[in-house]
Amino acid sequence: MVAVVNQNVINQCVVSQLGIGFRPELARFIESRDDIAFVEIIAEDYSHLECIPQALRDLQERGVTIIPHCLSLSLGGADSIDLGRVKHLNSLARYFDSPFVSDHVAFVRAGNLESGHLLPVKRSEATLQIIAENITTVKEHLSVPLVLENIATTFQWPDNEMGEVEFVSRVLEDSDCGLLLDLSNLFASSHNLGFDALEYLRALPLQRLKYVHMAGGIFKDKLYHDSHGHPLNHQSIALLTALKALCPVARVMLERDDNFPADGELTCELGAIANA
Amino acid sequence: MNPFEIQGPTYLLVYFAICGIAFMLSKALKAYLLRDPNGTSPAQISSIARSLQPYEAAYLSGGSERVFLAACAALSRHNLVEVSRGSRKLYRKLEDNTGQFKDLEYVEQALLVHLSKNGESISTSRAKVNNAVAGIVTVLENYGLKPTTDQLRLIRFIIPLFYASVVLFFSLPKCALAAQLHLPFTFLLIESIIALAITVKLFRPEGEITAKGAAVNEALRQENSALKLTHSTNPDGLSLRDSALAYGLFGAMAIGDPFNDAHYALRGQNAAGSTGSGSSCGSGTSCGSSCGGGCGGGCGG
Repeated sequence: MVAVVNQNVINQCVVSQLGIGFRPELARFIESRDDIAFVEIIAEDYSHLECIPQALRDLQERGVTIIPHCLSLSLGGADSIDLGRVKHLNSLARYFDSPFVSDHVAFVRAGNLESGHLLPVKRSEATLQIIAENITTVKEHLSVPLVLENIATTFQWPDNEMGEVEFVSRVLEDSDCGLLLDLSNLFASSHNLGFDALEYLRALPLQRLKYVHMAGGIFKDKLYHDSHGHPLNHQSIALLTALKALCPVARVMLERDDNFPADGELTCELGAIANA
Repeated sequence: MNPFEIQGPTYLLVYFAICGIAFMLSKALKAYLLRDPNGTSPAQISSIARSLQPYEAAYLSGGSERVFLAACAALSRHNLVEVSRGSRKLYRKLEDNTGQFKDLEYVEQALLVHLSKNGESISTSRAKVNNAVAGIVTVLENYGLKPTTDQLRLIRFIIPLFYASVVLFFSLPKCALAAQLHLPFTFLLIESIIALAITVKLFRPEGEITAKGAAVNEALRQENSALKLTHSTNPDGLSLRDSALAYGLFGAMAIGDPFNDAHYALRGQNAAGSTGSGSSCGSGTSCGSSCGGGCGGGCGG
């Protein structure tokens, strides 16, 4: 019931809310901004509820929405889902009264080996089946909706049975999940794999869009790396402008995980996102 | 019953109880003198907290010594001052060629004007800052955050005098009598010396704040939890003003800052032998990531 109410609220929201990834290094900056309507936290950073910093509680008290974002469910993995991780994610969602939680269409472990990266899955009917089963398991243990994010990749598996956008769309439709669209990931993948990002946007089930990620990256050896430690690029901003022309975008946020810049630079990036 | 007729270990226990009661009474009297007679509301407390400047907040947190350490730490963090552990001197790193010092806080200006590139001793620098905090004290007194001169006189002299009188009244005659009768009185003497040492320690003359001041200090610490978090992870990303506020409110020790080494020099301590009040996580649990997902290397989280 709570989930349904939250989803309706989001669907009615036409005006973009501005958000940012909460990192301790940015806590002071975030606190000083009145226009930050939501922050996203990395679920794995808060392995226990008592680790949640006061600064985050203060934001919640101020009315800032807090969205737990997970990196480690490995929804695209053939291994069974680690229910401990799901329960932890759910406990954060309940603690913060979050409207939803999110993770990636990717895998991060196999055969007890951790990749340390979000890896793309082979785009096949068999993988779709695996992901659908994993998401069903996850949703059974979540009290809020699950939102799925497209990842950035520098390679793809051979013998893919379908394109990236078709695959992501099928995952969303089959699992009835919301979409967390990372436009910087989209730009990175389109550049690295050689597809048209605008066509990708048009083909997505944008009615499922819940929020948008924007982050900086760097070109290196002909590849674009979504580093989260460099300035936002103009191509990602252009994609946001294109997206806003296609559908209402309820929430957009900036991610910065490294090389934290001065407040002025972050302010400029948030301004660029707000005005795209 | 005359307590002086009690003998031996029993008297030591009674004496301990008397000292305890006297101590509690002294603390209660001190708390009464420092109370907030107007019962300031939380909203007013919060409003006062927001209106305070960084070094006013620093004084509230730890007196003039905290102001000095915060100024040195913040200016050092922003490469305006260097603290040398070896020579125990402070050096100014930049000349004020462009007049940028005029935008600094008064305390910072006082310190920088005093310093030279050849260095000044820490003790004379501390004295300069101590002279500059007079204005801060006035502001805090006007807000009722610091006790008035009359309150301070009572706290610094009358209460300790009362406590010391009780301690000595019940020990000195007994010791003198024991000495005359060649009876042992070493434990009683030790107990009374400890009690007097507590007097000196607990009724410290500096940095005294009122109950209202303590409430404002607590509000400042609460409202600046984000500053503490950022300072402990990304201190270079903060402005000079924010650095000063962070050092002033929380101290270099509590925020695990590399400035700690210089901090020891300023306080005249050896780093290896000092324990301080540093904290990492606070709780016994590990608060880091345990995931294998990660997001490094352009994986696109």
